[in-house]
Amino acid sequence: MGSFLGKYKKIFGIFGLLVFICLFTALMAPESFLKAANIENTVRWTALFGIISIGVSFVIMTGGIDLSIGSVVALVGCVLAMSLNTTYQPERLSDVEVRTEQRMLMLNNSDPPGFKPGDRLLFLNHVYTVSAAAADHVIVAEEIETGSQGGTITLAHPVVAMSGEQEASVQRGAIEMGLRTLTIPGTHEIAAGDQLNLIYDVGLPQIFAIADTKTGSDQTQIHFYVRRNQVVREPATVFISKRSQPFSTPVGISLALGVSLLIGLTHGLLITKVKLQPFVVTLCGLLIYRGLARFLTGDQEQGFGSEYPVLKQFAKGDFLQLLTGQEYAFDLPMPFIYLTIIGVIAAVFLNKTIFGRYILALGRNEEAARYSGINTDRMVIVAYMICSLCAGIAAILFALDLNSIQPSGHGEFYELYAIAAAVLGGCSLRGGEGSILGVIIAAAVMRVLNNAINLIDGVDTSTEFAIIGMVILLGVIVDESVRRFASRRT
Amino acid sequence: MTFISPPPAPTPAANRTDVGVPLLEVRDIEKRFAGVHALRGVSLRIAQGEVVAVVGENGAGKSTLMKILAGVQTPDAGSIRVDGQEVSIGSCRQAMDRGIVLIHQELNLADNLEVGANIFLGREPTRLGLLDSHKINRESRRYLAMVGLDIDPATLVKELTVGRQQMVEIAKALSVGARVLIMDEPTSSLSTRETEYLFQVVKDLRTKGVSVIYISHRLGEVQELADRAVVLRDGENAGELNREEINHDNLVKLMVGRELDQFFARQSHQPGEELLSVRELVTPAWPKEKISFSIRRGEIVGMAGLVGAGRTELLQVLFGVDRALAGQMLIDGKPLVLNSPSDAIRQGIALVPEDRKQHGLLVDMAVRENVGLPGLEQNQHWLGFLNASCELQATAEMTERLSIKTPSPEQKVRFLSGGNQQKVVIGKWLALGPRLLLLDEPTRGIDVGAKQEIYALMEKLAAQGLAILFVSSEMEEVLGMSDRTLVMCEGRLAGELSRAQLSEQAIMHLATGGSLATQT
Repeated sequence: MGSFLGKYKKIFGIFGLLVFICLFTALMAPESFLKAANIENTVRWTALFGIISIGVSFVIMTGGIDLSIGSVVALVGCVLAMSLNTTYQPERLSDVEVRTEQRMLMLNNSDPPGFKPGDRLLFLNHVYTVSAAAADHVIVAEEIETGSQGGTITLAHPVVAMSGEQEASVQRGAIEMGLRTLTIPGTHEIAAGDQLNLIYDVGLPQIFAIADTKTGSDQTQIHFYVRRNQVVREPATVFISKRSQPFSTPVGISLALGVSLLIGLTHGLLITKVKLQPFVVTLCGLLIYRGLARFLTGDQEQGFGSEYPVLKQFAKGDFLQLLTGQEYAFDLPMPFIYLTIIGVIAAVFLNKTIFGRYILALGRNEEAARYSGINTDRMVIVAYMICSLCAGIAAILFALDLNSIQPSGHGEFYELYAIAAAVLGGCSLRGGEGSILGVIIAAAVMRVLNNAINLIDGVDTSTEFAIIGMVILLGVIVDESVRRFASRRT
Repeated sequence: MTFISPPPAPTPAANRTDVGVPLLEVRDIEKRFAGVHALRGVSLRIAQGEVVAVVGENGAGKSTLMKILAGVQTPDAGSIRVDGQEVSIGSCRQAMDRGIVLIHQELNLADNLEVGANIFLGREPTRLGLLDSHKINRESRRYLAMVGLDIDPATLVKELTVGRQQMVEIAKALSVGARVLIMDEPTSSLSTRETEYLFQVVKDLRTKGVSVIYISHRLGEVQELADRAVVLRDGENAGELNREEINHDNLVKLMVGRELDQFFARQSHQPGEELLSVRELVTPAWPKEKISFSIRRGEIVGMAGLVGAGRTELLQVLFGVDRALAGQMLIDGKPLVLNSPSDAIRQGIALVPEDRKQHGLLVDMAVRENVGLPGLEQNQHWLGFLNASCELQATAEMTERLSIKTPSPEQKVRFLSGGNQQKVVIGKWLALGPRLLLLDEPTRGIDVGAKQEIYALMEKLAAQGLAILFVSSEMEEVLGMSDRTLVMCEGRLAGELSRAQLSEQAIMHLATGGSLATQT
């Protein structure tokens, strides 16, 4: 028991601080602080910041520092958003030139699709009916209402039948939706996720997501999602927009994680092989990745819109709801689950493997570790890769959670929050010590503090930085005094 | 390198005198450090314009005496007189005010600053509260000229060669009105030409009435420069030699001359076959010297030499800390390539380094973690999980076998005594079962009892067939422990002495640059 207390006495201190701030806030703003939604939200942000704090604590344990985390969060977020950037393109059949007076569309395609009279064409948002077709042109029944000389045409289909009733209530991501069915003639290659465009004679076209299709001998049934209370009517014409994303979802996520690992590897190599100071390397990283993110995106906001509902569910949904399908008054946000997994892995890695021991040893005294036969360079590189990987994982979660990434400002100062949490959680900036649990609790302290400043009446939110700064300073002073007192006694 | 205006050739000092009141005199200086009696009543006097060499083995007390004169340390007992007046020197400042300036072995210049700024560091002349750079420049030139250095005072110190930097340091000393200059191993990092130039400057200072206390291992320099040589041994005055008496043999006789204690329960060994063979090895520290030797199983080989002779650097190459520039190493007849300590460890080579706290131990970690560290990789479980029981077992075994006195395996090494710390370092290697044990100053800073235990342990390990190479600056240790002794001098292997040839005189002779052939 004695050694247990000794081992965890540092954590008791920071845990006490957390309890104190929680109690204080609960007393000062009981209604708002204790609301389930507020607690869930605080837990969610604690988890996200906890993940980057765990990462940076490994670097700090080697006696290094990583200032690039915020920029890595921005860059990796942008990389993910861009590689999963969804676009919908109507199936392009042919480029055409217009002969308005003859109601003729000249096909420029070398391999023209065969049209027959009665086919519907979509040209510049209008639907036309083919009255006569030849190999190189079609003539349409309607007046061509355009001054344009040309454009592209897409095949449109008349709706043969539409089920009038909402058939079912289904879950799409976190949203409850209805499912409708319509039938169009012919067989088509349509995939779930493609877009269904309904065009009426008057009024704006409506866009729906396709759930799935059932292909008959000469008809295709399309199931599509309808928001509640949304009216869908006949008669209508339909055209399909094919969904495309630059990379498949697993590839996109791998790419994001790959970029972060590469960043960590580069940091590690520059620090160990070129012998640059970690502060300088990662400070340059902070600038480089931010600039790169802005350049790659053209400084435009990135996001996922209403796409990837399932992915978002896994990134920011509620754990119990995902597990059981039921809603609860209080539920665990998914990021907390990831934090738990990463925290357990990190703690085991640090305390139960030779690698963790090596990192602690070289943080204490790199020379002595090297003289003991440890490949210290390799372990330093590993630490920087862990740090960037954690930043990358958090970046993915941040991006999906916020759904809006401003390349110039996303993730700014996150490295400082992470470093502060690591230090408050018991990592010495001199290296060689640290506790994963302590770091997680410290991340929670910072989030609760932030929450308290927002909730407690009479506290000006503009004092946020000042208050957080003072609490960290106080924590470190108390920690240092306790350590001095302890070392005097021994 | 060329100096633009060489100083005038030395002329015999007109005001030199051996009679009357000496400029500086110390009597019966005593100094104790934790457990070490460094100075036992040392006396020294120096007249104006005299060059006195202070000579002695490593640890004879030279540096301590000089630090006391320069106010870096205070004596426990004894008196210091300047111009016949008894004074107390409590700080460098006070020593400087009395005209005593120490020029350190490692130069003490701020090399990112200009020459002039260094000369006046801490005493900058100001005008209206601003630095008076005119005066700094003018005055600096004057003092630089006194050491024959014609350089712009605005030059950055780091752009100068080591030799010129030393001249700047001397100029700085003169600028504070130094009457006694203490030079501690001033030639240790100078080229031959720079050394010659330094001699000229010293001789020139003598004619100007500045006294110089000159500390050197290099007896040739002492012979050339000194008016008088004071020899220290074991913290006591061993004797003095006047100018005409100074020669290599006389110096060595005074430096040594002592009976060996019956301290080493030494048995004779029956060495086995050759384990390590080193052929024409070139270390990065001394790129011009080639070193060849071999060690057999069960043999204890001592390596003697003066501080800075390249012994530690050689061990670091043998342990893979530094890479050899050229040459070949064979272990058990197979080529040995060492790129890192882990390569050496894999080949069964272990090093107990000279600087225990910096290189040997993680002082803030537990005894268990220190002993276990080198073996973690070898004993790991699946996926790199720690084998905690193996670590505990090794610690228990080593604590028992080396009788390490620690309250628990979880005790931080910092809180152990020097002797027990050293045992932890040895223990962490023995747990791996090495073939070759390299020990660098194995008994430095540990008490007599622990020393004896370590000697006994070396004996026992050699009897078990371990090859041991140990570097030591303690003469008794080399004489008492080694089956064979390698002596190094300025990066080269000056000679090898068998048990029969081994004597203190023989070692000192080789270590100070004599050759085997000229030994009488």
